[in-house]
Amino acid sequence: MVFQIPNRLRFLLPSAFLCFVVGCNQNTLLGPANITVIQPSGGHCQYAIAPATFQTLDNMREMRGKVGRVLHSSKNLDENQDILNTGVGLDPVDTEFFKSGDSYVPADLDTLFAASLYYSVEIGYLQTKRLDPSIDLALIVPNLSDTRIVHRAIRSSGGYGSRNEISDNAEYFPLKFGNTLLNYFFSYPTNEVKEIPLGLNMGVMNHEFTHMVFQHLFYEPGTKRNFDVGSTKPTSHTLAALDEGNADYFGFLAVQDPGYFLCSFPYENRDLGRPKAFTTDVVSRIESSSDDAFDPHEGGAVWAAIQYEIGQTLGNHQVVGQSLLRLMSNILDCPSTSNNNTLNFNFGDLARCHTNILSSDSRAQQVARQVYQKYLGSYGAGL
Amino acid sequence: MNKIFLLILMTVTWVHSSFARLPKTVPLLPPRDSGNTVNNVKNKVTAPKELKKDVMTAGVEIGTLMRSDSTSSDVLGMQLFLGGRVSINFPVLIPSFYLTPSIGYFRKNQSEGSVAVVQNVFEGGLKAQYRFVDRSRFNWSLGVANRFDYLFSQIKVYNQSAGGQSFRYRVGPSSGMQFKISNNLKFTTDLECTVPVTTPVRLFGGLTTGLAFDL
Repeated sequence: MVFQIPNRLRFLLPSAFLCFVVGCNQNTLLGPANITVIQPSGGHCQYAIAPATFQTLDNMREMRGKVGRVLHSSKNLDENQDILNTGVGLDPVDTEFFKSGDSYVPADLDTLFAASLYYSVEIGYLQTKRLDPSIDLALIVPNLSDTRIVHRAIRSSGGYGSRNEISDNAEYFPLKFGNTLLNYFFSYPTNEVKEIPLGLNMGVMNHEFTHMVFQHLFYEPGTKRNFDVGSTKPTSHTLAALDEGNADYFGFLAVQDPGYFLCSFPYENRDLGRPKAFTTDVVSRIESSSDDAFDPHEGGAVWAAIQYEIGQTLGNHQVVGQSLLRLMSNILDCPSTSNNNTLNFNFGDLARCHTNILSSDSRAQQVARQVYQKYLGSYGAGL
Repeated sequence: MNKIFLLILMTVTWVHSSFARLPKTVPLLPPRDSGNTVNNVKNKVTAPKELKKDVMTAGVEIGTLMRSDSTSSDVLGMQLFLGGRVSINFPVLIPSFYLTPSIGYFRKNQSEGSVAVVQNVFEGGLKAQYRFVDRSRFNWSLGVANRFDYLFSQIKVYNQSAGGQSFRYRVGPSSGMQFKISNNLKFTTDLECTVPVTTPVRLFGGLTTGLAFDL
């Protein structure tokens, strides 16, 4: 028996096949896209797996857009410095999405990470712009779209040649190459974390994003203006702790969970909702001349908890966020923190600068002053 | 995961090496002390008729579906899905030409911390193969495999989950071998390499082994 295709189906079948093929080519969408990611859903460590609108995406398959691109290399980046310098050897993450209604769902874990990493950076970019419309990082950060967000980054702790690969961490890494500052975000492999991997913790990734904001609102302008660091006050340690504290606070702003850090590390003392103070011990470590005794995250956690309490008391965290963005750039010009192109300050001086920034809102200024006096310890004298 | 892959790989390698060691002419009957010419001729004449008898078989195979992935891989740049297929193998049109419709299921579970992504592949397939070697205890065929996949991925975190689905068609060359174990039972092993006709273009490999029953 010979099976013959009816004449009317001879054109229909190839056409149906072609439609099937074209219909499945769905992964190179340009422009805004709804992509399913793991999002905070209100409440401590509460998550929803739901579509989010990616507003700045240029290429979904390669996860690149206005705020950067998600990349991967299977090589140790510390042992292959050229990869970091040139970007050659960093490839887009191999992604695959399934269409579900008007949104796309990551088909595998790498795709989920890639989407979540890009979205975290986008949230940081949009949040900064929303808090202070005059700060458009696309105009401030040179080549923002070349920001390299490295998924499952392989780097060594302890310097070059170390065999200990970093895991369970995330990092912002500004790399000076020639006259260019390259902005790297590293999401390291998950090893010990039993809860939310850091690359999927949007609070943590926004913590890292804030380091980039501080780099370009403070460090870069300061370097260009040839600022020096004075020695009569613990300026370097204070700056490092301020950087971490601001990052902790903006991480909270991004996810609205003051305990977001605990969603990855449940036993760390990084809950912004738990009041902290600059105790004698904390101050002594900040003012220590040794780097060994000093942990910027400790003083940073105190600063972040203070900002959280100011926002909670005011009932308005936007005001606090906006004022902290201004603080980042005003440190270079505040009378309490700089003098004759020299930075010389402690957390008390930063609090003075901050309350001056809030002078246009008398209630906010008053609340900030009260909270600072409550937790600054010896730094609060004369505030 | 790698151990399972190695087990399957070793099985297939063993099968291939067995194929290489097979005598070129397999004695069909034990040698006789005495016989007449007629009987010998009878043996020689009847045996090839049995060899060429095309029979329908039903098979069950387990193994791995491999998907190329440049970011993270289990083995040799491929991610491994574990699962299996059931199939029917029947002759069509011309001698030694077989069609093999099948259905299969493969699965891959990835997790980090409390987050997991489970990928499921429900596969419907049709292989068209020609037996280039067809002996009484062994046959080897080459052909084309067509696979229609229904894909379903599920993302899980704590008590939340969400999923997405898609379809995929892939096609590519395939090879299969069958070894007679008993009168109605064969040991089978199949290899295939397919490419989807849709983007993203990836390489897929199939490596399955199992049993086939004469129907």
